[in-house]
Amino acid sequence: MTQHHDSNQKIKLGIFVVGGLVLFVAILFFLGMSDIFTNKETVRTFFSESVQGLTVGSAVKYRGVPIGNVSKISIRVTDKLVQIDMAVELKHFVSGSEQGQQRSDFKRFFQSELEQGMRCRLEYTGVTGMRYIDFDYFATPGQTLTEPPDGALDPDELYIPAVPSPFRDILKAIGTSLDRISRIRFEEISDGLERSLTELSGLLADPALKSTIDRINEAAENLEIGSRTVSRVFGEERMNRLMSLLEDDLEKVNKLTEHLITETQNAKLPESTSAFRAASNAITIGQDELANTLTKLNQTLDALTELADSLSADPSSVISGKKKPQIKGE
Amino acid sequence: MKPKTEQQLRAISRHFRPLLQDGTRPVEFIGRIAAEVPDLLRHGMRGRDFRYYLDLCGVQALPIVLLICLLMGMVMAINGQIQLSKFGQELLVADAVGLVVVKELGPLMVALVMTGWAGSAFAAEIGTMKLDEQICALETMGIRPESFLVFPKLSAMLLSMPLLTIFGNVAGILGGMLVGITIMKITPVAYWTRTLEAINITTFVLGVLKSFPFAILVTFAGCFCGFNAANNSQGVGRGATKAVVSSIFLIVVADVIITVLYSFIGY
Repeated sequence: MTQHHDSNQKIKLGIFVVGGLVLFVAILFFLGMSDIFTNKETVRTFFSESVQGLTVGSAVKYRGVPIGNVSKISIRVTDKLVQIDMAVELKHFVSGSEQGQQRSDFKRFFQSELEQGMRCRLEYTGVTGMRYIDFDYFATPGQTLTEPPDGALDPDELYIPAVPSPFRDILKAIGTSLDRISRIRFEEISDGLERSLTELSGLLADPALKSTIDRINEAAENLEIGSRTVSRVFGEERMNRLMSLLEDDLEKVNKLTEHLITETQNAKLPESTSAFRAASNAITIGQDELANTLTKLNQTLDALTELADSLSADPSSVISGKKKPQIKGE
Repeated sequence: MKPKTEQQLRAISRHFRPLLQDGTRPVEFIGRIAAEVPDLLRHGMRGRDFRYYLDLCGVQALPIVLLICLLMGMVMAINGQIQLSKFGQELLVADAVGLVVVKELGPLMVALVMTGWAGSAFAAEIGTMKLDEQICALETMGIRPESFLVFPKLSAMLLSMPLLTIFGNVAGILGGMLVGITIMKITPVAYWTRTLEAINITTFVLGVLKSFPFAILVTFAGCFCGFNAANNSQGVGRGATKAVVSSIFLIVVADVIITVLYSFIGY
């Protein structure tokens, strides 16, 4: 019985210890030992700006996709550039070829992306100030690659040129704005403002303004009284009555309008108008003819006057006819 | 020296002597244990005792440790969700739970559970042996009670506490994940990925390493209180209580010191 209990106890202890150790190893594996078996490629870049917020282990992303981490940050004492080594995990790049060709495929892809304008840049992770490195097309396709510093790269290592981060541009813009602000003549503005305020206080102290304000106050009071009177006179009941009267009147006006329309339609105005127009035309023609007749009558009268004059001057012409006119010099 | 002044000094000395003795007694106890280490290395210890205490402090304590750590993880996740949902960042609950459990709460909760589970048991056991004069009998037989009684307990605790901490860490993370999946509707893969991103090997190992000093403190406090318990049944009870209280106090103080030390290396 004791032996059986002893054996059970040993089994339990064994499970406990082995279980704990297995768990320990499994956690270690999950937390990073699996990295040992990951296929990686080192990519190097150089920053001339501050890399504040970038640490070993910071993410490296290709167009937003996490592809690796920063593995080393160092400063080159010769040219003060910050050298960043990045470990890019090749498992993130699917080529479809065999496992052994993964590395060469990635290198080909990387070179073609550089020709297409891919560069790296520091980006902010969020509001915490932490940063990551982003690979994206920050240059135009075919743009000449910036050469790495002399002796900074092994022949087998990959290099990606860095472009300044947008934050640097923002700082530059802020600097320019501050410079412009510093040029503003605040003293002159302040003096002008002070003068204006003095004038304004003088204006406010003017008795005429006070009397104007008093009058405005009186007018406002009168207006208030008037408004009260109006509201008293035009009480709700009275207003309702007036409204009903107005409605009645409007109804009558409507009826009258309808009647007028009917009358107008009955008057056959278009026909009368055309008859008037024809009569008017006839009168116009008659007037013209009368004018012609009168002109002809005038001409007749002129002829008769001329005849009477010639008869009175030479009555014999009735018998002998009209004498020929004498030509000078004959 | 004037007689009056001498009397006053003697009175002060009488007051402070017990306090001084109380202060030096734990140090003396540690010294006695340390003195037995070469003997332990030469002769070893009884395997049966070690197995008994490993069973008591490890196997039997495992369910309660798992349960408490699971619930602690759930509580943290719920509270984290309430706060982080204000910013629409519920997924960060995984980071918070993972980091806090592995770095701080896992080792601490396991140590506190073990204080109640094992520390009080050690004090009660040794106190009762003292009451029954078994310790005197051991001394009569030429066996040093400190090495005979303390080392199996200490060894078992040094082995079981880190293992329990590992189990506790996993249970805490699973508790948080349970809340994340059921209440926050986060997918298990997303939760697990966030947790792995938040913690790293160093954080995990440093958390587990904390359990070694905690194991030593719990064992020493329990055994010391047992050896110094009064020779009556009430004394045994008081000894057990004292063991728990002093263990908790020492664990918290040690945790503060360890955290400060870790901060020097950036963790």
